[in-house]
Parts: sequence; C-alpha cells; structure tokens
Amino acid sequence: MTPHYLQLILYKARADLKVEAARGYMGMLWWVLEPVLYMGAFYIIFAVALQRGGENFVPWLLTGLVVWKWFDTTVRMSLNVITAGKGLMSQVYLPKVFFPAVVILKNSVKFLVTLVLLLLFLLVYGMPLGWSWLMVPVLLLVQLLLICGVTFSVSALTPLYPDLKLLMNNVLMLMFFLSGVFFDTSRLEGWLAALLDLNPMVHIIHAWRDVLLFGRLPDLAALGLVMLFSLALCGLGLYLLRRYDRLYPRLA
Amino acid sequence: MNPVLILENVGVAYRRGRSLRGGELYWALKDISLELKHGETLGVIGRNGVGKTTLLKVIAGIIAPDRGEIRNAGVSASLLSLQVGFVPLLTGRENAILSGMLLGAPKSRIEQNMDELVAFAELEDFIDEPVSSYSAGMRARLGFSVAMQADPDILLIDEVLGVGDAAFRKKSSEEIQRRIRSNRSVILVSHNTAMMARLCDRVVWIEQGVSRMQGEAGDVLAAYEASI
Repeated sequence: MTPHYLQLILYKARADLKVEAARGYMGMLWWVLEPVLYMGAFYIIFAVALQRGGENFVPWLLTGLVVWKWFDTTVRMSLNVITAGKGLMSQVYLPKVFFPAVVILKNSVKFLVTLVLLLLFLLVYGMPLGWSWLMVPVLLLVQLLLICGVTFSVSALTPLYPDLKLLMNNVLMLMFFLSGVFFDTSRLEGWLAALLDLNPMVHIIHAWRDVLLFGRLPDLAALGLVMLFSLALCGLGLYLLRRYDRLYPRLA
Repeated sequence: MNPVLILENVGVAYRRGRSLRGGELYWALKDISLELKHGETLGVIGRNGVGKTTLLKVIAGIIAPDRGEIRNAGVSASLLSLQVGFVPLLTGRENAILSGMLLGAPKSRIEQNMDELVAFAELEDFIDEPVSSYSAGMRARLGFSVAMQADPDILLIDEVLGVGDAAFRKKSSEEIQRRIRSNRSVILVSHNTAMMARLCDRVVWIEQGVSRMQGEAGDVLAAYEASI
C-alpha cells in the first residue's frame, strides 16, 4: 500500500460521506439524527413501553447495539463492494483493498459520531465518568482490527462465491442474537457458553460494557485473543485480495 | 533502443458461466507476441472482437494472462480513460482530484495543475459546481482534461481521439497527437488505418486472438488492407 493509495482511500471516503450528506435536505444532520432515532426507538420500546430489564437496562442495551451496528453495517456493505467496483477496476488498475478500505473508513467516521452521542447519553443518564473510559481507544483499535479482518476476507471471497452473500446475511443475524446485545452471555453455562465465546463480538461488547458502564477494566486476555484472531483474518483477507487482484475484473 | 515491454505468447481465457472451475474456456487472446521500444508508438490493428481491448487490459496490469509472459522493465502502463470514477454530486474540482488520483496522478500535482486543467476544459465559471449540473459536453471536457494528468511510462489509447463539440474535439485531438508524437511510449488501438499510418512507427496486426504480423507501419497496414 503506497502513500498514493492511502491518500486516495482517504479522499474517496471523504467524498462518499460528502455525497451522502448532500443527498438529503438535512445533510450532515443525519449523521446525528439517524443514531438518535435508532437509539430512541429502542429506548421507547424497552424503557418506556415494556419497562423491562431493570436498572440501567437501557444504557446496557444501547452500548451493545451501537458497537454491534458498527461491525454489522461495515461487513454488510462490504459483501458487494468488489463486484460493484468492476466498472472502475476495468478502467484503471487499483489494489483491490481500496474498495473495502473505503467502506471501513466511512463507516468508522459515522460510528465515531454515534459513539460521542452514546457517551453523552450515558452521562446525561447518570452513569459515572470513570478512569476506565481511558480504555476506549484500545477498544476502538481492537474492534477496528476485527472489522478489517472480517471485511477484507468477506469482500475478497464474495465475488468468487456469490452464495456467500446470502450466507453472510444470515450469519450476521445469528451473530447479532448470539452476541449478547439483548441478554447477558455471562449468565450462560456449559457448552452453550463455550459456543458463544467463539463469537468475537461477544467479547468486544462485554469489554465496551465493562469500560463504559461498570467502570472496570475489560478482560484483557479475551481482548488479546480477539486481537490475534483479527490480525490473522486481516492477513488472510489481504492475502486473498492480492492473490485474486487481477482476476476480479474478469468475473461477471 | 531497448524494449520497455515484451509480450511472449500471451493468452487470456474467459470462462463461460459462473464458477471458478468448470465451464467452457473461451480464449479471447490465444497467442500474442509483441515488443514495444522506448519512445515509439506501436499501433494495434484488427477487426472488431479480435481481443484488442483485452490486450490493452493485460498490458495495463488490470487482468493477468493465463499463459505466456509479460516482461516490462518496471514501467507503468495505463489506459487513457475518460471520466473515471466521476461522482455526479461532487464538484468539478473534487472530481478532477478524485479521478486524477484514480488514474495514478499524485494529489499535489493535480492541485498544482488545477488552473491549467480548468482553463483547458474551459470550465472556469463552473468548476465548483456539481458535475450533475454539467452538460454532456462539459463533462467530456473535464474528463479529457483530467485524463491528461495521468503520466504513465506507457500510454495505452483505445480509439479515444478527441471528444466534445467540434472546437474541443480539434483541440483535444491535437493534444493527444502531441503526446503520441512526444518521446513517450504509446500503444494505439484503432480502426483508422490512415491515422495509424500517420502516427505509428510500427504496427502489430491481430487476428482471432493471434498476432499475425508485426513490423514497419506501412508494410503491416498494407498487408492488413490487402486481406480485407
């Protein structure tokens, strides 16, 4: 990856975000409005309508939802990204990592806006601001690596095996329900708990809740494992993108 | 003169149908050998569907050949492409930077040459307007001016010789011909034998995915015209 392509990825992500903002009348306001509406809907359903989950259930739920959404949206957008870039890649040579990298970058920028809103909500809700919040950059880094690993690998493989797109849509839904966004996975025991532990997002969501809600350090051993796994996936994805670099423009 | 690019028995096969394996092979290029010397203009002639466009894609490094060998002494080759990656909602200036970078030009150089680029495209009053508000002619002028920012060692040209209305067509065509005649190595694909005779030093004639003849432009073009 030369500096030229890094600069190109930055410029393209910025341009895409600008275009998105230029589409509606409310422009960049949507970056704030969309997560507010998203979080608001869950707030109304769980805190106001159902009155469920006991104390601090809403911050607990929103934290899980917001960090899940970063992962989910980015991976979903990457399923088709190389196939959609076929016109461009048959005119000019581009290292194919360009396509998923732009998706990751623009979704991460939008996530950061959402994260700031979440942190504001937590403070307004009365969660104490603790030293543990200093761990936020570490969590951002680990989750970003996981997103890169999954996104690079999936975007490299879907043009070769289009069925993977359908499969991934369902895997993501399953992962969503099994990632502990809605229930506390630490209450489970035995083989089921062991199975859920294989989902890296379980540990990431746990870590965010530990840091933001419970004022304690995350499980660093688990995060370390997630990081190693993510690095391996990044390596695999980048290898595949390179290996099929000059095949993608020929696929229908 | 040293060759900057050598193709030896290059072939490219497409698979009919979906999968990576299986499916019938169709050889778009069967056996292409050619040599491009530094600073020369090499013409590629042949009828429609003989694989000329595929050949340019192989030389540009967009697709890899399935057999044969390509040797280039670490030089870059890229297709002259117009309006690459244009996004309608971005301004002309933003599109110029984005498209220019996609074509391999450094951002700093495009920004440095921006005034010149805008003047060439005759878009001084519109460059900060979104491209979606441009007419087709304005878009073509911007696309051409941006394409001129690309600076590959080997310029590959596929029938693009002048765009836009009559006046701009003349200007852009002259600009391209100036580049072809300069000391740059160029591969030019066209059906226009008269123009090829004028611009090319040597010509390679391709038929059915095979390079049938290569040599002095006059000789090859005469043989090609005698065959049709």
